[in-house]
Amino acid sequence: MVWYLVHTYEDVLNRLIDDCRRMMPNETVGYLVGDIYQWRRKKWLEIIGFIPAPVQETDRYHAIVDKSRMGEIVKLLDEYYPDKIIVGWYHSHPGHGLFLSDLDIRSHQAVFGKSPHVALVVDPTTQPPSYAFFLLTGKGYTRASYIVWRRQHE
Amino acid sequence: MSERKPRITRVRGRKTVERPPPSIGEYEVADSWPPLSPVPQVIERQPIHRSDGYRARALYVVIAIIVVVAIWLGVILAIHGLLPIHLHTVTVTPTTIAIYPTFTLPKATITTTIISTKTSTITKTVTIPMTPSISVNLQVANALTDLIRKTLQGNIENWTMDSVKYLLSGFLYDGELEEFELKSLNETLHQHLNLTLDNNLIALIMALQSAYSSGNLNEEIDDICKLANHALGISEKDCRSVLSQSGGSSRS
Repeated sequence: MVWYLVHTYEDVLNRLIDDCRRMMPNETVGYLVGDIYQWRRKKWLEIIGFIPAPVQETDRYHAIVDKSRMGEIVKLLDEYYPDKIIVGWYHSHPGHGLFLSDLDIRSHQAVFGKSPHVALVVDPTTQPPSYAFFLLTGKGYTRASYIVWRRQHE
Repeated sequence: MSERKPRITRVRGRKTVERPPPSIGEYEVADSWPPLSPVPQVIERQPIHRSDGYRARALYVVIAIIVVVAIWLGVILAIHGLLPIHLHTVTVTPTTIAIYPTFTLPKATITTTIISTKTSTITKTVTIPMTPSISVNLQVANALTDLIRKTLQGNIENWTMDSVKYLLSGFLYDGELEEFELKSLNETLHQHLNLTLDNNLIALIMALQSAYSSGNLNEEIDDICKLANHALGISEKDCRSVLSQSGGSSRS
């Protein structure tokens, strides 16, 4: 069986996509919350939630995080996801497709340089919404394998 | 049922919990990339009960077939031995093969063929070295969008061109265009500009990438403009004028 690096849940992903839709036609940005585990010497990453980032300015092509309000992110992380960490970031590309731009790569290198932090890109304009996880490599980036689990209703 | 206790290990100064990832038994799969392979079907082998009489009959049939085949082989060989041997002459026709750049681009180099539009014959073959660079991708994206804008006579919204520029600069960051990047770029070009990302347009992008990364735009401007004419329909004169403003100079 394929080893999936990213494991997340359908309800989490749907809520995140809804958030991206609400911000249309502008971009949105935020952080992925979960933990990094290992099993049989292989790392895997679980995403259990997300925190939308406060943005300084946003338009169709950019979303600049308001760094002066980063404390709010930490507070939300402690309050809603105790013992969890930020395992990557997400942003939307409304109508642009799934890729990491030059600026995205530089942002990822600056903030999430440590492997296996991932970047999730969502295009909420497609039907159904499209998304992909990316991982930095030595000279660029590559798609990260992922699996989305559907929780069984109790 | 015994519960698995998570074992704590220390990795790079941070406690990493050793824990198996979720499995199909616990949850349903909603989506995955790459897609999950279908579960192999288990076919139970059924024991075959056959009587001794059946086995004897089967053996008799097999021996009979072998005898018949042997007789026929003997007859065929005897006939061939009596007939004179005919020699067949095989004529090989030389074939001309035109090679176009494909969607699976090699990592290090790409060979592209410039084709004369009038005679449809190969006039020149150039090898384009692909050197990744951080700033080159922006120059290529700017040059290409300027060429498209000129071709479409400025009858286009700025944000549309910015979208293509943004996309292309991101894709060319590592000096390569992967399959999903080509697909995404093709969709955007088609949706916003009614352009198709065909082999000619890919060759133009790669030629611009090569020229900017080697700093030889001036030397390669004529060849690039032939490609641009082929890919976008822009006149070579207009192309030289556009690229001259994007960091090159025209020789004509």
